Amino acid sequence: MKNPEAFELPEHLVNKFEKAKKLEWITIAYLVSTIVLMYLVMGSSQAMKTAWLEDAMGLLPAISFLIASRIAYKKPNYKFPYGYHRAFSISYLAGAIALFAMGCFLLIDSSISLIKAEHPTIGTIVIFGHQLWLGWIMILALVWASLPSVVIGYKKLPLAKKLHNKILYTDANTQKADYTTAFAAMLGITGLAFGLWWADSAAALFISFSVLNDGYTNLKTAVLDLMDRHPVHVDTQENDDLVEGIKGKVNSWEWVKEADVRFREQGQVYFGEVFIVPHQNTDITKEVEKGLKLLQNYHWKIYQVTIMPVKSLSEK
Amino acid sequence: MKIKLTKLPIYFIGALLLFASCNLPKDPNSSWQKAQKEGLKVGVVDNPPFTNTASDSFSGNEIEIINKFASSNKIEVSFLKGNESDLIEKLEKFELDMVIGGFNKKTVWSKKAGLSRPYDKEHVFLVPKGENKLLVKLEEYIHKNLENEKS
Repeated sequence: MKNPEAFELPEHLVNKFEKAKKLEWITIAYLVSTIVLMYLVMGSSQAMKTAWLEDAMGLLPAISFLIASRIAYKKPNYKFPYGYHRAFSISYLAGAIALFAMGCFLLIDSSISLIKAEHPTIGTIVIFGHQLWLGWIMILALVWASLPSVVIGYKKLPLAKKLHNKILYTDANTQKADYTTAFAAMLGITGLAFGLWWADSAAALFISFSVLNDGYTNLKTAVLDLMDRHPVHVDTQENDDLVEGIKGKVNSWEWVKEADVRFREQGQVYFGEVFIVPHQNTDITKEVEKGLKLLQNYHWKIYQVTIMPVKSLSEK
Repeated sequence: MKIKLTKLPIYFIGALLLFASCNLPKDPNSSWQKAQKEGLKVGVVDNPPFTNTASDSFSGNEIEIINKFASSNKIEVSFLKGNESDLIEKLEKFELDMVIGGFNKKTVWSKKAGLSRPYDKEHVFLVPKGENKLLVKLEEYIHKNLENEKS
């Protein structure tokens, strides 16, 4: 069997991919600035601590995307005959597990601080000779942690859909929704300002739920993909009709009596088989070669297809 | 009127600046308010030269600081001497507003009490956890009267 050629994105997507990589580098730089800033002002606020850890976890998808994008397009070889596309799925799973675990930890940690009725002590800080309550500075830090994040998220979202890249999509989607957690933390600190000690832990609890929820959703998607389910769209999670499209296409070929297909996702691309019951007196090898070429040009996502002539299709 | 969600934090900051000029933050247990009415109750651990309780009177530079802090805010002070763990326990129950006695900023009590900013880069006062108004008032005094002397 010959190994497939190294995968190349179609021209119109190459610059989108480069743009996505650039945006992920920007994301990392931005998140590092946020993490440092939040750490400096977090004091003993539970909500700030939770929001801080959430932002730190936000580095994971960006880093795993950049690592995977270096590996995924390597040429298939003797050792890895199917290529390296699963690099995306694997880094996605790793990130999802980390996020889920962090969500669990934060939920427990915040619940404990609420149950123990921890009263967060927040003092003052002197900036340029002026004394300010640290709580107000925390809120400013949270603004920095939320607004740019939403903008970057919205920029990444369409790229993720076009590139059919799940890490990028979840990353963009979480960032886009980041203002809700920052907003919760702001409310918590404002509550503190009004003397409601529980507002802080309550906000932290809310943020923990949101982290846990993100972790759970990602974990589910990552596992389902690694289980080779029917390919789905990254945004709606509905079956990709590309698969049905190929089935229709193959069935329309003259030499085909009837045909069935199955595909699975590996990172951004699909691998699969086409089972064909040919008409009698067909030059099968010639037609199969022709068919493979046709399918390879059908859509960039259809990466590797095997055509298998069979006597009859088994019942499903 | 339609408000864009992404712009909400901006309105929020605007509202905050309004709040910041008011009387915030508040104390969950109104320690500052009570101190204004009933006087500031300060627990003193004997630790010369910061605090000296040996001769039934209270002296030491931390006693002076607290006396000045109280008079600058026109509130009465009463001192109570005792050992660290008893006084901290009273502080946790909000029976005291402050515990002093040359506590270092790395004090082991930081889990049970709130720490003020160090008044000499090293030593802190302990306040009940979460009583942020009291803390802000205290640090305001430290900032205006003690930190500036150094610079």
